[in-house]
Amino acid sequence: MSLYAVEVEDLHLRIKGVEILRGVTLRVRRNTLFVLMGPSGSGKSTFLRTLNRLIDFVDGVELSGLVKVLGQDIYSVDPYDLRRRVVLVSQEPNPFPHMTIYDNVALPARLNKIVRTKRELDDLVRWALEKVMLWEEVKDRLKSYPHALSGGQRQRLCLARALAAKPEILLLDEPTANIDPVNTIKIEESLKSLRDEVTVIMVTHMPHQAVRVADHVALLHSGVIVEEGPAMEVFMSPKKEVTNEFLRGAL
Amino acid sequence: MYRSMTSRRVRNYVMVIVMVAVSFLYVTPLISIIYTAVERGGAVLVEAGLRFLADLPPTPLSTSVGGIAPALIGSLLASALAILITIPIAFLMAFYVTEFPRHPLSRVCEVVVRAFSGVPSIVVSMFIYSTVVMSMGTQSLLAGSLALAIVTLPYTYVYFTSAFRSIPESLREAAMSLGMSRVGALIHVYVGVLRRSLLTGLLMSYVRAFGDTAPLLFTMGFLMNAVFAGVLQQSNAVPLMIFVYALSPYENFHRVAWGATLVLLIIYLALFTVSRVLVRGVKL
Repeated sequence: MSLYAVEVEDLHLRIKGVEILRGVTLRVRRNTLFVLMGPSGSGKSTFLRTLNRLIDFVDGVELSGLVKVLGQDIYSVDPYDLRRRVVLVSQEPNPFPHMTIYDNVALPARLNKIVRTKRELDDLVRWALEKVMLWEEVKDRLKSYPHALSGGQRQRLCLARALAAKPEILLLDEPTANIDPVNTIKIEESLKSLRDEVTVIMVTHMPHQAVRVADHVALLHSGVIVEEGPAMEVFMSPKKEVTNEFLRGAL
Repeated sequence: MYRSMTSRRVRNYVMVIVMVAVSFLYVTPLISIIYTAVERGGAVLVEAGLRFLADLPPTPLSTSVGGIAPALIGSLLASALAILITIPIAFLMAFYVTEFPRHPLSRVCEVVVRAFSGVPSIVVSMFIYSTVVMSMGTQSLLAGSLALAIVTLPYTYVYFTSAFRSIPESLREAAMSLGMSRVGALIHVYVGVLRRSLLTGLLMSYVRAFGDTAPLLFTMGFLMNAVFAGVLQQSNAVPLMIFVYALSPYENFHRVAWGATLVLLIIYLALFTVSRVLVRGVKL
């Protein structure tokens, strides 16, 4: 088994002729909380969507280089199977509005046949909701619909849904960008507690958030990895001026 | 500043008056039609009661108005059969075109549907007559249903396509990022999210088929002496009966036509209300 959850070598990606990623080379160790930082428009979300081939749904994508996830080239495996193992949580909370809170969390477990009995499913739903600190808030209204939840609760529901799929890698695209500080802290605490169970790769444009949660960080700027390393090392003594500017909020 | 505000208010008032007047002009004929149908058809329905829906049509010189049972049953069955044919085709085409908008097959689908929507329904009736009716040797409920299906297809397709296009991109991504295939997303997410739109589309297609006359002119026949003779035999339809009876010289036939018009309107309003009220929408 590879030591790395993700290995990317010289990844170039164009969308309709515009180069978004320009030779990205990166490795992410298993069971770490990896934060990919960068200003808006640097290609972070595109990179994240490349890892589980959600980028395939975008028109006009040209890609070169090697992307290995969980030791396998992503273009040598079934994309649906890849997405079941590498689940993405988007920036915008997107629970399924026609399903109850319970069914939202239970759906991936049912689809992927993770559990066999109703009891196991109940336990999994509870586990996932507890992991994102939502259980206490919704345990009496599991049959309610997500529109009754706040934006932050909905985002935590989406995180619980992703966890219930039992992924090996969790991709988070600025998961706290649109929610309040209290929910942000809860999500960050959840992420820290997940390290031992899943590899988390989070994208953010907020250096403060990276400081709070990351084990390992990389800075992506204009489609290029400018600097990467253990979080404390990069934050305390950045080697590149661009990193310094980003951390100061000047980018 | 003061003059500018006054000028804006005056222009606003003028535009409001113009819009109300235009709306009134637009709605007046509709209200007039409904009023006339209720006034004249209502009298027939009051006189005949529920027997109007269950009896055979009157003879020309009869004093009673009889009923519209063959036409009502024919319309209900032919429309149901038509949408049974139309709905799966329109649903799958709409899904395919929405999911693969740039695929050549999608473009072919769009062109075919647009071409169909431009064909006059009387031409469709002639086409079914020359193919199905001629080969079967008789007009029939099946032939009428096929003609209605062809006429209804573009309408249903457009309805379903706009429903599929209304799915937020974030929900598509959520489904895909959990490893669902496109068909999986359709089954587990899209159908649930769009249940109101899809059911409304289904009911509206049914209503559209129920109210169409021209496709049935050469295909359905004009069954009068029995309520139902079989799918492969002649049948009748409410709009067809209104058309034929309204042109006839007999006073009691005219009254039956007005009664049938009111029944058609009531069925339309009932189905429309059902689609709006009974089917709960999804709060996004």
